[in-house]
Amino acid sequence: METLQAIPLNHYILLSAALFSIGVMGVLLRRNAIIIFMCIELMLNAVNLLMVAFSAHHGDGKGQVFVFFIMAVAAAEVAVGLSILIMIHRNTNTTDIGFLNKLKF
Amino acid sequence: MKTLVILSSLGFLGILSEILNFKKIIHKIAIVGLLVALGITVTEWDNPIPMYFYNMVSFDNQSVAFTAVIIITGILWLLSSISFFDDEQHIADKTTLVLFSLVGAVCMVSYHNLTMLFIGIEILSICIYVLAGSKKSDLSSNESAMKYFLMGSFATGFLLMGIAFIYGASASFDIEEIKTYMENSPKNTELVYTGILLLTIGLSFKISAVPFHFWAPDVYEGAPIQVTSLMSTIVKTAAIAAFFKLFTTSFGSQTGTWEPTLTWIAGITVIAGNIIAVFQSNAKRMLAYSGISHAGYLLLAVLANNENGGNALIYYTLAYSISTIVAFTVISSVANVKGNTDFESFKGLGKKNPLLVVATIISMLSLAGIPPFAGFFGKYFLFESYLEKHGVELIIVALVGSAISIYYYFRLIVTMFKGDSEEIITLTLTAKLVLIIGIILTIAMGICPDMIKGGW
Repeated sequence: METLQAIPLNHYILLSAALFSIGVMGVLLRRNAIIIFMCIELMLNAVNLLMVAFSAHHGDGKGQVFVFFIMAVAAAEVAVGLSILIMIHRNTNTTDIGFLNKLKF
Repeated sequence: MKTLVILSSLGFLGILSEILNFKKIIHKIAIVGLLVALGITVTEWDNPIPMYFYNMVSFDNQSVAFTAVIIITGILWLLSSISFFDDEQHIADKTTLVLFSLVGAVCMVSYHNLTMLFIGIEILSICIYVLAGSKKSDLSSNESAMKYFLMGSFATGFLLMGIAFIYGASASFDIEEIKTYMENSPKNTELVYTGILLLTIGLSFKISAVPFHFWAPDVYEGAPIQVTSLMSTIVKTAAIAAFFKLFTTSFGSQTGTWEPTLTWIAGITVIAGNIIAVFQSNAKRMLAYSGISHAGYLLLAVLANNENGGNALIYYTLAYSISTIVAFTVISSVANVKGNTDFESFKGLGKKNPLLVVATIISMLSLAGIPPFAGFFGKYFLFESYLEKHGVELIIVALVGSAISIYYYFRLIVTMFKGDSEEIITLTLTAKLVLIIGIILTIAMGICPDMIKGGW
C-alpha cells in the first residue's frame, strides 16, 4: 500500500495501456497461434494489473476479486484454446494460422 | 433465478448421464427440462424483489422475457438438431455443452453486476468454441473453432479493459451504482470515455456488427450447421440483450459519448451486411451475412435507449430466432441429402416438398420483413421506438438495407422453383414438428403482435 501510493496511479494506467497495446499488436501481427494465445494472455494480464491498481486506489476489494475471476476464466479459456490447437495440429501438422484459409469470401 | 438453477442442474445431469449410463435419453431429458424451466421462468414474472445473490443477478420483467426467448429458442433448437446428436460416443458431452451455453446466455440477460456479465459471456463462448469444433477430423470445423476462439478471446480482452476503466472511474461493478455515478456528472471523464469505447468494441465483436464482423461468416460457414444455428440465434440474442441492458441502464445518461459511434456502426452494419449477402452462393454463408445485417437492426433498439426499445428488442429477437431456426432446419435437411449447402442444391425442390417450401417462404419473408409475418412487426416496433428520440436518417438507411435484403432472401425461394428435379427431401418427425411450430408462431406473432408486446 505504502509503495503503491508512492507511485502515482497514472503510471499504472500507462503501463497497463502499453501492455494491452503490445498484446493487441501481437494478436494482429504474429502468425503463430501459440504466440497469439500469449498475446491474448498479455491483454488479460494488463487488465488484471489495472484492476488491482484501481482497487488499491479506491481502497475496496471488488477489483481484486474480479482479478481472481479473470484468472480462473482465462485458464479455462486457454485449456479450450490449446485443445483446439492440438486438434488442428493433428490434422495439418502446423500451428501457423496461415493454414486457416479454407473458408473465404 | 430458479431458471438458472434448473438449467445448471440439467447441465450436471448431462455430465452424470455419461457416468450413470443413461446418455441415450439425455436429449429427451434436456427437452423436458427446458420445458419445465420455461414454465418456472414464467412464474417469475412481476417478481416483487427481483435481486438475487447479493445483487449479482436481477430477474426483472425484461430479463424474464429475454430468458423466455432464449429457452423457447433452445427447445426449438434441440428439437431441430437431433442429427447433431447422432454420434453415440459424444452425445452427453454435446448436450451438456449446449445446456451450459444456455446457462451462460441466461447470466448475460439477467446480470446486475459486470462480474456476472463477464462470466456469462465466457460460459457461453467457451461452450460454443468447443461445439464449433465438434467435427474433429473436418478441417473447416477446426478452422471455424480456431477463428472463433481467437476472435472471441480478443474481444473479451477489450471488454475487460472497458470494465476495468469503468471500475477505475466509478469504483463499482454494479450497474445501478455505475448509473448513479454517471448521472452525477462524472469527474474522471477520460476513464469513462475510454471505458465506454472499449466496451462498445468488445460487445460489437460479440454481436458481429461491422467493422467487427469479419470472423462471423467464416465461423458460421465452417461450424456444423446446427451449431451455426445456435450461434446465430441464442448467442446473438444474449449478446444484444447484454448490450442493451448495459448501455441503457449504466450509460443511459452519457448518450453523447456513444450515440454517434453506435449510429455509424448500425448504419454501416445494415448496408454492408445486406450488400455482401447478395453475392453469396452458399445458403449458410448467406444467412451468416443476413445475421450480420440483423445485428444492425438490433442496434437501433440500443440507440432508442428507452423502455419501448427493450420491448421491441424482445419481439424482434424472438421473431428472428424462430425464422432463423426454421431456415436452418430446412438447410440442414437439404444438406443431409445433398451433402452441401450451395444454392445449386436447392434447385427444383419446390415441386415435390410442400412443407419444406412453405417453411422456406415464410421464414425468408419474415426475415426480409414483409407483412403480415413476425419480422415485419419486429422491424416496425424497432423503428417506432428509435423515432421517439431521433430523426429519420438512420431509419432510411435501414429501409434501404431491407429493400436490398429482399433480393437475396427471394433468391433462395426462386431457386427452389427453378429446374425440375423430382427429388423428395425426407424430413424427420422432429424437423417437421419444428417447421410447423415455426410457421404457426411466425404467422401468429405477425397477426396479433400484441400477444407478445401488449403484455406490458
